[in-house]
Amino acid sequence: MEENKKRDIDELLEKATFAAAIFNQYDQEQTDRIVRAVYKAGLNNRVRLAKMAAEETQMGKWEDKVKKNIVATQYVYENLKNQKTVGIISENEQTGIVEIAQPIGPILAVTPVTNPTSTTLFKILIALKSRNPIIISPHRRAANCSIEAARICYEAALSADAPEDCIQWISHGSREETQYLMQQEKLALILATGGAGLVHEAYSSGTPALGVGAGNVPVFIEKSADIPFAVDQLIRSKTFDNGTICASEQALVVEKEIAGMVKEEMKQQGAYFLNPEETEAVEKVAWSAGSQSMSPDIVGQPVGKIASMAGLHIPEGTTLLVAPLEKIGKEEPLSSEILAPILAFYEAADFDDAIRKCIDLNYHGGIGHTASIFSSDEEKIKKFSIMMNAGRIVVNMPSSQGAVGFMYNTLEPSLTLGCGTYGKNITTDNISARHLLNIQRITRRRMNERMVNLGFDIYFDEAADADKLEKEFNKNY
Amino acid sequence: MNLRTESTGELVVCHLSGRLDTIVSLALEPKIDQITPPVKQMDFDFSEVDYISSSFLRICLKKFKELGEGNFWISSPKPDIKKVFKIAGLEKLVKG
Repeated sequence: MEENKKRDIDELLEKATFAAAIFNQYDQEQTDRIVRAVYKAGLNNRVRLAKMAAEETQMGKWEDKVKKNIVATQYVYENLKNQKTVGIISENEQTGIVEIAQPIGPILAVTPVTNPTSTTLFKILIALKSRNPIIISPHRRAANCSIEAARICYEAALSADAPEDCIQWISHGSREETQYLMQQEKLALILATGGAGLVHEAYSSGTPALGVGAGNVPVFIEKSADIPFAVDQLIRSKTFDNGTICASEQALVVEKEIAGMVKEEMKQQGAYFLNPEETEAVEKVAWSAGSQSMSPDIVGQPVGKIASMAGLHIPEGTTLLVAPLEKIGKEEPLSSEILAPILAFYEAADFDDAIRKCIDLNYHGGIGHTASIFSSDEEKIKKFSIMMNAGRIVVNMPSSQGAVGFMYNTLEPSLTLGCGTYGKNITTDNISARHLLNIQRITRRRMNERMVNLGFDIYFDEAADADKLEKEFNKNY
Repeated sequence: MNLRTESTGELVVCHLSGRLDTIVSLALEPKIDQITPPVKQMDFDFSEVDYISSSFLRICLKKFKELGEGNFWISSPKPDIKKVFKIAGLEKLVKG
């Protein structure tokens, strides 16, 4: 990398380090004032930023991007506003533990092309709430709208007396520059949202990272489900922003017994079932054999455009393309994650077969992310959930809106969804401000009664085995 | 105001006080810049400083670079302010 580019990045990080130092002096009230100003600015610009994002990326629907901006600002703010994130945040006389929240330091936020402005707004809010400066590295195809979102936030933050340079961005930066920044000692954390390669780079950089994993969300409409309701929720979710959310449903599994009814309902709600030739044609435009992943050309595209790319004639009012499939895995490209209004469809012999298919789908590129079920049978919901390897199992709700939290459940609103160790992440949580704090614990003397009563002499007697020690340790307890 | 100076030969002690926010820093910078040779050493007495902004941090760094290590220092900062310099990676500017 050229020396002048390195110098620019070094300077950016030095400014962020200074901002971190200054931020450390702020109390809760000052911090909350900044967060409030920034959230309001983001919310006030929700439509303009959404239109910019749709225009620049040529993905999704601006109306749905408005909704994502609302999640990222209003809902996130409502969740954060009463949280203590500065100084002493809890005191427990009984345990003798006092918790102190400390900021972690400069954060690098890598933001995606699929949710550019919402992810930028979201990451800025959680960073500021935890008194951390943030540097935005936007996806190159969404640089203008992401930087505009960051600029609006920065202006609002300064108006509320935030530290200078608490929000910065890499203008038209290259992957190389982002990589260089990731490796710098002064950087505290990387919030990485993007493709697998990028997340891997973040984790390999030596800097702590909170990344996300890829999704390949199975949705199981179990036979006790309210079918018209389930289909309505599924289609709303899968077609939201033309399918750009990584928690959106990728494959529907139904038991044979109700498959006909589900299909009929789906057709009534605008789904178009592809025949084998049409499935092959869609596969050709939706899948990139070279990269062995979805083709960027169809991500977030309207169903009509995808159909015409594949040379299909579909009825007016079609909401979704549905590909009936049998195999799951590499040999069946459409069983993978496709962030577009294309859904795989599987018929299962019975409940156990349905679960087996969902396990295969879940483990085929979506491990740790999200799984969805529609059912009225509590036992089956639990069985399905235990069998899935997913940070979120959403029940009787649209998956894409359910996984991001707040609207359909009490999960924390977030645009960064942890996928656990199997998704190569450190947590399965919906990432929020609390993940951007170092919690210090003051601990006061609280002697362990059993240890004091037993004393240590008994341990010097080699004849005292583990069973005896356990019994004595817990005597009269 | 936020600045009172005291000169002894080649050393000038700048007694700073209060909140050195962005606006105050902008006002102070030209006054500090006016302190020119024969001054060779500068001591920023921080004992009365309650808050420091990025702008003032930059003024400190500028003076440190101009005068060189050993000739510019910040003395007696309150613990909160000492921590600011530590986090900023500028602990070499602080004496004590």
